[in-house]
Amino acid sequence: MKSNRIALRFNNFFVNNERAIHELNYLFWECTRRCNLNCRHCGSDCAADYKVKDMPFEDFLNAILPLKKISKPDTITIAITGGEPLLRKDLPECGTELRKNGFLWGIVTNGYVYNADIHRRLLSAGIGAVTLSLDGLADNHNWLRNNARSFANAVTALDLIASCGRLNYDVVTCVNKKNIKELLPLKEFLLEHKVRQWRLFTIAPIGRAFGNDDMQLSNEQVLYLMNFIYEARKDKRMRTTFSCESFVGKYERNVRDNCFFCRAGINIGSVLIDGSISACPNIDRAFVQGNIYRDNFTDVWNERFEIMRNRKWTRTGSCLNCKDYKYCKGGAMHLWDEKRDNILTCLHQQILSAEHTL
Amino acid sequence: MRLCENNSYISGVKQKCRKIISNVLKGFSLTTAMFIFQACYGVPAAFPNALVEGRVVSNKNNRGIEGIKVSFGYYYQRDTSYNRYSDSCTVTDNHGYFSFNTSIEGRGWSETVFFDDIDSTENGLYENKTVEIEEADEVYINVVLNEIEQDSTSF
Ligand code: SF4
Ligand code: SF4
Repeated sequence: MKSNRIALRFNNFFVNNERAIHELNYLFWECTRRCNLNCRHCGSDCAADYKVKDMPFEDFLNAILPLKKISKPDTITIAITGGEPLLRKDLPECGTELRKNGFLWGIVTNGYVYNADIHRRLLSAGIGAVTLSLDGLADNHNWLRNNARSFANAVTALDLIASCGRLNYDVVTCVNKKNIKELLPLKEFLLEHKVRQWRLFTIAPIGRAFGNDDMQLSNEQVLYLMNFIYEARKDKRMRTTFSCESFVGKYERNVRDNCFFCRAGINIGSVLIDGSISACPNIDRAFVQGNIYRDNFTDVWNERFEIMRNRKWTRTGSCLNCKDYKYCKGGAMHLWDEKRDNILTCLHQQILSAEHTL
Repeated sequence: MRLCENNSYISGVKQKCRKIISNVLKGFSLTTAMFIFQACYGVPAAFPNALVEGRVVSNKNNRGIEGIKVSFGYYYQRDTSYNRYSDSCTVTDNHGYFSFNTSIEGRGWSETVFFDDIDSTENGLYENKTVEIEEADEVYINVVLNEIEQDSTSF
């Protein structure tokens, strides 16, 4: 396993510099709260025909156009998310306008309605990236997604996406107590379908997953997951990575290419369905920094977000006496709630506990 | 006042220095992936693509032709025959204009725009055409299609 002390120090310097610059490179747009699935782990509480109306595209576009004055639009990827963005009938038109204005864009989808026609229309509208969720083989995926056809439909989407050389895409898997046993066959399945990038993450105890025991991994399972990813990364046919969600101690740089760095509010911003300005959409809404219907997005990005750029306040609860605080700096922003008195969970502590009991 | 101007000048210079350091660090980073990040529920950095726009007109009267399918792709050989692959397309509007995005860089094969009359005799009957294009960020194509004379006695 790679020793990572030097890399972690280098990363500290890099992170401090990035915080000071806080250049926006990645912008989520929560374009709808509607969803065609009812997943057990959903970080939001969306449902089909949810009463919140989709945000008119013009409102979003008008909010972000002034960004062109402070940075080149092709350095910003707009990650269109939901809900399920494909439920918006005007998605290709939204994408076309974003490209006309120079922004790059992509979607996060469950693939349920993704078909050849939609694929072609999205490509024509200049889509450049897709993230597709696949949470196991058929039974487990359908269980988590609460829908008997969700796996078959997602695989149709997968084949279209993976066969297209024009998209930067990856498959994401939410690892839970059920599917952790089939990660190896799932890896083989993805390889058979010519997938080149696979990203795994655990399910945070937020949204619908809060208090659901089938979702959160035990300490031993977290350790197993780290070792699984470490081994899978030796197979160069597919780039397997652990997501950004947590500092993982000695597994840093062994389970992903770079060291832990929660970029929320530093490089990542968002416009949420009600116009709220925040960072990753899974962050507690108590951390919202403004609203496009009231504030100028660029001013909010430039002048607010102090709470995400200076994380000294995270030195509390479990993080207070953590000897790795200097590298982790209080973990993932999405794992803090409005009380701000303790991080909701810490994978690094779970790994240490599992190793301790071995 | 002077002090204020000096302060903002100094902070501007500091910010520029930080950006230079950031770029150097990205360049020297242990992997280039340091810069290609994505949040848990987010997409990878999107690939860029190019805007292809233009107009299709008739050779008879120079008017725009509606209903011409414009697609972008390439020919590939399977066994002894050539097949066409295309993954982005659009249809001309009632003035003959079209616009769509496509990737035209680094694919290593001949890049072709196909113009196909897909609505039969509605809006006139035209010969199909293909146009080769070069790698660029924006492409504008004006195309003239030849109208096919329709034999009214054949009915
Ligand atoms: S808030 Fe969470 S998802 Fe967003 S960058 Fe930080 S760790 Fe990643
Ligand atoms: S306890 Fe806090 S600082 Fe320590 S590794 Fe966990 S999240 Fe990071």
